[in-house]
Amino acid sequence: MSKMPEGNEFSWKKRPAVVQVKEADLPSSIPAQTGLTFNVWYNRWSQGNSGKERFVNPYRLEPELHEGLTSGDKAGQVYFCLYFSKGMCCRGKKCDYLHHIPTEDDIVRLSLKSDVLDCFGREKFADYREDMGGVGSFRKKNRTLYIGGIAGALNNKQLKSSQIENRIRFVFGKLGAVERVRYVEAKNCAFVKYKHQANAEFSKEAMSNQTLLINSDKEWAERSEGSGLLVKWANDDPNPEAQRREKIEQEEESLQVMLNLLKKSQKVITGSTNATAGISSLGKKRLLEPSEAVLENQTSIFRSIPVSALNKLKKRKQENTNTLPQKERVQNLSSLVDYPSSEED
Amino acid sequence: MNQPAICETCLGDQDRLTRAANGAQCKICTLPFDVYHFKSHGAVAKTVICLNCSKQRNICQCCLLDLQWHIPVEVRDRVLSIVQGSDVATSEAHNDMMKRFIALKDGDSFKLGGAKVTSDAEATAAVLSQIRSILDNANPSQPAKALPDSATASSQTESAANKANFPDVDVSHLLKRLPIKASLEPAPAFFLYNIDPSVPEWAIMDKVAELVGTANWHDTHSTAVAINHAARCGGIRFKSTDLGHKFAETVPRFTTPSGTVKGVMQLRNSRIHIVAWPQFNRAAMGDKYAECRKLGLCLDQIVQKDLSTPSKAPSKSKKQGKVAKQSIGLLKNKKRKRRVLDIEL
Repeated sequence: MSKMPEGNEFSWKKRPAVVQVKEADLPSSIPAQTGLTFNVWYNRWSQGNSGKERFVNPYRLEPELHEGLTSGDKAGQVYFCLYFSKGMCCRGKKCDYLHHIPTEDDIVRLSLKSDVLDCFGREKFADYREDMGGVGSFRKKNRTLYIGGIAGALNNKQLKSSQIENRIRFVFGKLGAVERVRYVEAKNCAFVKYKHQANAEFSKEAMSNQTLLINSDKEWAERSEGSGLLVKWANDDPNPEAQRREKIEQEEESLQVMLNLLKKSQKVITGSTNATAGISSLGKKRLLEPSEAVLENQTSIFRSIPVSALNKLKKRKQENTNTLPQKERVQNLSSLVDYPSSEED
Repeated sequence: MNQPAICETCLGDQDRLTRAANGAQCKICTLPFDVYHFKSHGAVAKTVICLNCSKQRNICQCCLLDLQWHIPVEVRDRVLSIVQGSDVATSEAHNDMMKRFIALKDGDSFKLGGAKVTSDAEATAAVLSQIRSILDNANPSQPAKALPDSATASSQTESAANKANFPDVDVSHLLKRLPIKASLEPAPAFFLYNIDPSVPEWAIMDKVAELVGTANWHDTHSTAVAINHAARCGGIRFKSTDLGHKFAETVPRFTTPSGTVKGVMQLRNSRIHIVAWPQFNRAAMGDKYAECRKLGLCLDQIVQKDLSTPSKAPSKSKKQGKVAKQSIGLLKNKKRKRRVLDIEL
C-alpha cells in the first residue's frame, strides 16, 4: 500500500462507480406544491407565496464510497458529473461524466480546455452574480469559497468555534487539496481556499445545501428541518497581510510567465524559418534554460501544475502541428485563422 | 470578410466551422454576434464573445486567452506593467450601457490595456527583448530568491507592528495545552510551529507524504491536518502509530540549547519546528484572531530561544547536513537583523 510516495495511487481507479441513488428512489423533479399553477419554464410554482427556498440535500457525496470509473473515463471525458458531486447520480458506471474528485491530472487536462467553462462544463460569466453564487466569473481565478448559513446547517446546535472549524475542515478537506481554512467566529462564516480552482468549483456544488451535522449528533434525525450550507464565491480578502501575500504570489507568477514566454518565443523562432527579421535577430541570444530538475519545482501560470507536465503536453501539441503543411503553419502563426469556406456556409 | 479570431489551441487542425448568424449574446459586451461552432479535441466548441471585443482585447473568441502569448488577460497586463513600469490594465465596464458603448468602438484601432502591445508584432518583439534583459539582469535564480526576501521583510514589519498590538491578550490557557516543552518522539500526532503564513496546507501535507513515503498517511475519520495560519502553528495526525514512528525517525532533527530534540522541516521560506503532540486538539490553537496572533508571537519567541545560543551549533540533520546548517546560519542572521530592527522602531 505504501509503495508509491506520490499521490498517484487512487483506489477508485480499480473499481466501477457505484449508483449513488436508484432512479426509482429519486424525488420528483417537481417541487412540493406552493402555488396554484406550475411554471414549466422555471420549474417553479407560481401564484402563491413561494414557500421556503432553502432546503437540506438528503443526499451527500461520500468520496471513499462513491468514486469510481465511468464510461466517461473510457471516452476521455474531462468534465465531472454535477449529480455525482451532489451525491445523487443514478447512472453509476454508465455515466458519461467523471465520478471522482478532481485530481492533478484532471486539472492539467481541464486547463487545456477553455478557461470559460467550469469543471462541470458549464459556461462562466463575465461578472459574478449579485449574491456571489452560481457558476462564477471567467475574469478572475477564484479559489476561495465563502461558507455561510452555518447556524442553519447545524440546526442551531451550539458548538464551540473550534468544533465548527473542525467539521468544515473535515468535509471540505475531502474534496481537494486545501490551502487554508479560516473560520470567523464573529460573523459565523468560514473561508476555504483550495489549491486549484477546479476543486473549489467542485466542492461549491458538492457542499451547497448540505448539513454540518454528523451521525452522532442527537439532531441528526431532524437534519432536513434545518437549512443547508450556503456556499458562494469569496471576494478578495481585505486583510492587508493577505493582500501582500497575494501580491507576492502574483509577482512570482508573472516572472514565471515571462520565463515561459521567452522559451516559447525561442521555440517559435527555431521551429519556423519564416520568422521576421526583427524576431530572428532576437533569437540569436541564447537563453538560460533551467535544467530539468529546476523545471520540476517550478509552477506554471495554471497554479501549481508542474511545468514539466505542461511541457509534455505542449510537446505533444507541437508534434501535431509539425505534421501540418508549411503553408498552414504560417497561417497559424499569424493567429487570425484563415477560413477557407465561403461566407454563406 | 469577418473571420473569427480563434487560437490554434482551440481550433486544433479543424478547418470546418458552422456559423449561426446573431446566434448568441457576447459575454463581454452583451450585443448579439455571429457564433461559430466547430468540433475539436472530440468535443464541440463555440465562440463566446464577439469579434470586436476580441480585437479590442486581442484575445481568442473561444478561450479568452491572449492571441499572441496564450495567457489570461490579467496575467498579460501584469507582465506588461512590470516590463513598462506603468500600470497596464484592461478596465471592464460593469453596467450594460457602458459595455455596449465600449463595444461601439472599432476593434482595429481601439485597443484596451495590454492589447496595444500584443496585437502589434513589433511592439511584442520589443517587449520580449525587454523581458529578456530584465531576466538576464536579475540572476537566473532570482524568481526563487526574491520571494523569501520580500516575505521576511513583510513578516518583519508585521511582527514589529503586532508586538505593540496585543499586549493585553492572555494566551496562557492556550500555551498550557500546547506541547511547548515536548520533544520529537514517536507519537500518532505532532505539533508544527514557525509556519510562515504563505505556506499552504497542501504543501505541508505533500512534504509529510514525501517523508513518510505514502500519500495516505492522514487519519480519515477525523480532522487530520489543522493549520492555524494566524497563529503560525498547526497539528497533524497520522492514520496509525507506525506511520507516526516512521515520521519521527525520518524527519531531520536538531537539539535546542536546553537539550531537547526537535524536528525541523524545510518548506519554501520557513523552517517548521516539530514536536510530538499526542493530545492533538484544534481548540488549543486559539479561536479569536487576536488570540491567534498573540500565540504566534509567543511561539516565535520560543523559536528564537531555540535558535539563539550560537555556541551550541545545531546537530547535523540526517538528510540535508551541510545545506541545513547553512540555512540555519542564514536564518539566524535574519533573526538578528530583525531584532535590531525592533529596537530601532
